[in-house]
Amino acid sequence: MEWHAPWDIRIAMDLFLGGLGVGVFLIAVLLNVYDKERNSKLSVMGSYLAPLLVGGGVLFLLSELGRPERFLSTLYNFNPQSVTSWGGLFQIGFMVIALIYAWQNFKGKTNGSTFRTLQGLGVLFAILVGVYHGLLLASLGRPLWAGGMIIALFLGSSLFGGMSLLVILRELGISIGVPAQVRSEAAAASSDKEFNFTMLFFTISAVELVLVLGWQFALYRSSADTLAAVNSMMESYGGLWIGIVIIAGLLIPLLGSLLTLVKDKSSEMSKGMALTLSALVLVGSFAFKHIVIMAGQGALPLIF
Amino acid sequence: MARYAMVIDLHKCVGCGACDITCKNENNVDRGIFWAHHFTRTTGVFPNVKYEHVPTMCNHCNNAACVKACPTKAMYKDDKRLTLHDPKKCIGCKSCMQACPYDVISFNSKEPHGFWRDANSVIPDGTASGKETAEKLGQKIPYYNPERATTYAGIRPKGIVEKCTFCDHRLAKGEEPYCVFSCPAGARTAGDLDNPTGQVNLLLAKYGHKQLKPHVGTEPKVYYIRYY
Amino acid sequence: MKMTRRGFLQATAATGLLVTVGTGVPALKALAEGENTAPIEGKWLSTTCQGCTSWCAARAYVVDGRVIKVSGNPNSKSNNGKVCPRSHIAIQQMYDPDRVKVPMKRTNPKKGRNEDPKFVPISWEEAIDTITDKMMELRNNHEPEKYVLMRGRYSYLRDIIYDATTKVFGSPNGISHSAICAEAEKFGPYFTEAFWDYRDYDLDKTRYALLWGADPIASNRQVPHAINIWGKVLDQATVVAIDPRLSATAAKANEWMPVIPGEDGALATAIAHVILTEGLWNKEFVGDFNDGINLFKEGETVSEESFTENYSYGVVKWWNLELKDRTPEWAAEKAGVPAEQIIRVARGFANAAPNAISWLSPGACMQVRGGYSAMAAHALNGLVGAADNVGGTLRGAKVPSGSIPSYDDYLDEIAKKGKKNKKIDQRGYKEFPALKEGKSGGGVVTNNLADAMLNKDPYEVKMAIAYWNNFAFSCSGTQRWEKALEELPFFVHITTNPAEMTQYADIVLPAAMHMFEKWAFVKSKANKVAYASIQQRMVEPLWDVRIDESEVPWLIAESLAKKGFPNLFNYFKTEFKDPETGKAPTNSMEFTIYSTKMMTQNMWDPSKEKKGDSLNGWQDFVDKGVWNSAEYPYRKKWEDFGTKTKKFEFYSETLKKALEGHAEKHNTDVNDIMQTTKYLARGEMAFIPHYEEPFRWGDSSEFPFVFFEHRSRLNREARSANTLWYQEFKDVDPGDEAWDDVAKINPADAGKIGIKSGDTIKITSPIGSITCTAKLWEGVRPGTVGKCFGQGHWAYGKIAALDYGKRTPRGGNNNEILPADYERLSGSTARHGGVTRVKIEKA
Ligand code: SF4
Ligand code: SF4
Ligand code: SF4
Repeated sequence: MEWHAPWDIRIAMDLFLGGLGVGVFLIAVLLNVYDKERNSKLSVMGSYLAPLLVGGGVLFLLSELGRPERFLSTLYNFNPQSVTSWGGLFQIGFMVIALIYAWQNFKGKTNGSTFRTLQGLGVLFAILVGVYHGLLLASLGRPLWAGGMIIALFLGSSLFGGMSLLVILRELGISIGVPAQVRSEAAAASSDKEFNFTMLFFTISAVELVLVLGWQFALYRSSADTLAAVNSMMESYGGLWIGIVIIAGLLIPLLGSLLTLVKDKSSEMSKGMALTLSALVLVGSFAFKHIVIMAGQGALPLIF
Repeated sequence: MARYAMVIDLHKCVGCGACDITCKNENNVDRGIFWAHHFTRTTGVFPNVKYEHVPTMCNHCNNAACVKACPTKAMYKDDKRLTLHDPKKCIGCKSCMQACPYDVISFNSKEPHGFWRDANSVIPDGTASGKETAEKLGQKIPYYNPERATTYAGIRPKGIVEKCTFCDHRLAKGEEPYCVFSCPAGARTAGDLDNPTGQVNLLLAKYGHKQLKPHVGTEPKVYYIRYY
Repeated sequence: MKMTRRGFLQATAATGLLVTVGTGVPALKALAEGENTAPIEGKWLSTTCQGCTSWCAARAYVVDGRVIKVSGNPNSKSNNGKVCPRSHIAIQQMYDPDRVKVPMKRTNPKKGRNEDPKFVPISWEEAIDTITDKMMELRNNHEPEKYVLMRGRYSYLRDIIYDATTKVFGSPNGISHSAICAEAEKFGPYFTEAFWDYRDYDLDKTRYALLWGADPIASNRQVPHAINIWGKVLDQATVVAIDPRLSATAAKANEWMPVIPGEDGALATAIAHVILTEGLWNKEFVGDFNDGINLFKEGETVSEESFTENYSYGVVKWWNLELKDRTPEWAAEKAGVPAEQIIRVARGFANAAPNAISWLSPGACMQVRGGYSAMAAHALNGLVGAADNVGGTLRGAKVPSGSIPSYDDYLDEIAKKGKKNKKIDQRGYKEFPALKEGKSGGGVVTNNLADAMLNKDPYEVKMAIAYWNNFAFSCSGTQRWEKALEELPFFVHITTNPAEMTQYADIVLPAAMHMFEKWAFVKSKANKVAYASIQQRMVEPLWDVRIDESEVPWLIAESLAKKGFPNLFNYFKTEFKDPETGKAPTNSMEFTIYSTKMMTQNMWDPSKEKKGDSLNGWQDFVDKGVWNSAEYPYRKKWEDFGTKTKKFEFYSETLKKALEGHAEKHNTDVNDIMQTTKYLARGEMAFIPHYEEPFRWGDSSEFPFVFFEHRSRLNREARSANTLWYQEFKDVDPGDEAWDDVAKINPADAGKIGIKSGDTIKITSPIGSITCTAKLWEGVRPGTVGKCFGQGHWAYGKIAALDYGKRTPRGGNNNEILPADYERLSGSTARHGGVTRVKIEKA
């Protein structure tokens, strides 16, 4: 019998775009908090991008549902035991908050307590959504997805992706929908206490690489079920996993950013390097999620 | 209330597949979807070879992973501790399929029973077609069993999952699940775990049992006794 | 859980309502999706399944003019109300989308596998008219013998079309399929105990079952009974499966003896050797040495006077001529099974005696030199006193069915002369003794019909009607059939599906499906009970079909009468009467029903004496569906087996007489007959069960593997391959795969030739090639390759064939690589025992 994975690439798209969205949101907020003046252009654009990305992900999710028109029933038929149920709630909650937050940014109302409250709530829901991604997989009990590490992995990958997306925007100097006063503020800012992207880039890539390798290592040392699952993952996706996820998506960004930092602790990557590495991170992050989602669905051996 | 369970005697089971086939028959199950199925295993090296056939179905787990995973409570435990599915609540997210350790839930990705809507005849005007056959009988499947529809969608529509219901529609009439009724070997016994003198408990007491993947904590209620 | 039906439905309705409101799905949409939940009352109606040769009394559940389910008939004492998985597939067979729905005629005169016959629908009148025109032509030319009726599977109304119609018309040529089925198997019991039939087995009381290629929980006879009782058999008996393949039964057996195909005779004679040398034979049945001292010592002859036999004959002769040298060590080498295992099995078998069964099946004897293996395997039952004994092999009670009325008065001069001609299949020719019941030419040589037709020997065939068969698929050496049918001037196929044979037809007649659309009855036995079981038309057929064995001959007779030959129609109208009302039939359906009633009257008529169930008339029979005989009594035949010596013959005087008779007919001696029939035995060896080296086609250097085939537990005699359930569950045959046709190769062999599971491979024998999928499996003996029969249809329908229009088969038909060869003494086709060697290449 031919076996088809119940979830196709659309679920990976949901988790990837949703992850980028919350990643962008969190980093944008971070920038906003760190240096409101200097980074406000990016943080404003981040606030637009976040709901767009998460919304895009949700659209993929909806199209993957057999009965998308019944999606909202996850709210009134809510099953507290179901992570999928919670996920629906979180995503909807995040979307609502992020949209209002974006609107506030657009209007330039970024100082009031409403803004701060929204920001706080947004951070909370972004983290919930980001955690939900991994938790969803973990809750389903399939061997490849089991354990808490998958949660950290997915969250890390999301942050890294979101961060890279912002770096790309920054390097390309894109500016859409940014209120005029913000644009001028940014231009006027001085350069001495600039946020160091490269440092963050390096830190996240290092942490994520350790997590991924640690995860894989742990899998190799666990029960027969899990071992079978990771072996079958490497059998079907080994090349992509090592080439794209580990080397291109984590190792090269790590080394690239490290190289820059070694030269000068406070310098930033060159434009070319920043763009290239960020693009690699995005590809790597998608490949990571896609492979884990697909491989995790492999048929389960039945045993007594 | 009752707590239904199935005992499959692997010593009596001959691996014939009658349960698989008749389950499809009883429940109007489409091609490619299996409520009752089996796995087989050949081990050893010639001439010391062992072959086993193990019938499988929904385990109606006491601690059902699918029920936990379902975001809309479409998958639920009923008052007889059966794991049932409400086709009207199902959003087709397939979380239950992912959660089930036994891979016994299937998704209807297409409008089911397309075989019986195929209008092609191998000899034009000389031989029939699926469509003509079904239409002449006024049914979506020529041998459509209307009794299935008394407790579940008679044919599960596109976009939702489906699985074994322990033939709840037959239980409701005081009949055994159809795979039990049709097993020519008498290898399957369905009954109530809460009935201490029932056949199920007698068999379990006499032979002990195995369950599929007991370690995953689902507390499956399909018990296998003896050896193939 | 006791909830009344009504209460339950109310509860469901209530939940349904809540759900609808709860999910906010518009009410209209819910209605559109909702289905008719009104309780529908169906009815279980009796019928008989003829998916295999078990012929189980069954029932079908009919709702609203549709058959929706099948089960065993609880009134049957033979199957405990059970049916095997095959039976359910009958539903998809009836509702097969590729059923022939109207009579058709060919419009492309060219015939051949790659010719589209360009069939067009015609009326029944036109179809029958065309057929009877041809028939009248033969009669007018005084050559009615050139008409042949080819019969396949049948009910017991068969004699209407097979015998009466053919003979009254004037042809001797009712040719049955029997010899492609299992005639060689009957050779064993006949020439030991004068029983030309399948045996019954006392599984309920047996303590040892020695299965010669038999796979009773999957195929062969009485499958549901075997399945049902197998748990008990395994509890109380030792089961030994002798089979080159780990069959379904071997997988559950205590011992698997993976014999080299065709070497069964070595095992059987060695087991006999052990039983004799160890003094384990049944003294009550076989007798003993006069002084009680066992003189059977390896290699030493014994004087016949020293032994006194009871119910058997010739045990010392058998020993002296054959068994004394048949040591387990010798057999181990031949059969590829360890000597210790042979000894262990021989001892176990004999120690369980007489509650032991040596169960013969086609696998061990449908071999070119398989007649004597059949005898040897069956003789073991005699050696341990199991023949006709408790827990052993049994004959079977009688079913007192009637036969068709005599048609002698309806034979005119042309017919009398015509039917005196030799039968077309060359039975009784020197090379085809076909010694059914000891008579030279007594049995059919089905598969040779193709050659006889091609060679016009003994004469030309000008027209043939075939029903419920598919010789161009089911006979080995199919290529000859394709050729013969191409050359046949006029061919009519009565069939449910556009089969391979149909592709050569000039007229195609759509047949009623046996299980739900026909009126007929069959007889069979199992579990010590013989029975007659009804088939009834329980639903109106969807298509314009007629019942092959009764309605079609009626229509032909009616038409012939109009054309000036009324005898057949007069016979039907005058001799067939409703036994209840005395009315004569006025149409084909009445004729069918009256015939069924007449032939089953002894069973349902309470005024008739019989040993078995008493029924209250015809309707009672139809309702109950089955008449069971009384249980067969043990040891019924011990006093007179009906052989020439009245004894169970280890030295077959019966066979001697038969062979000498055949030799005499051809002015020669038995040695010459042995040679002509490809046997190696000479002299007295021809009359005893003995080992013969297997005969194989192909040279081992060119064709390294021995090919063997086996049966599927889902095959409805190769008629189910066009159903979804067959294909979806094909993997219930051990080693096989769903939706595929695999050749099972031992991994050790496959490694050597670089083949992996899933590879598309070409298997070539000296007569042809087929393509299928490789499956590496430890359940086949190295050096052999095994493949199930049933797939490889290039016609039949859109599931059976991968592409019906392009004639692309799903897998390959074994019969395209199996050469047409025979166990000539019985006339049986030799499809087993590794009749051919093959080579395997990646395709
Ligand atoms: S029907 Fe019974 S004997 Fe056949 S496979 Fe199923 S459980 Fe086993
Ligand atoms: S076997 Fe699977 S589908 Fe059935 S109750 Fe258990 S988890 Fe649910
Ligand atoms: S209990 Fe009913 S639904 Fe479940 S496997 Fe058996 S026949 Fe199918």
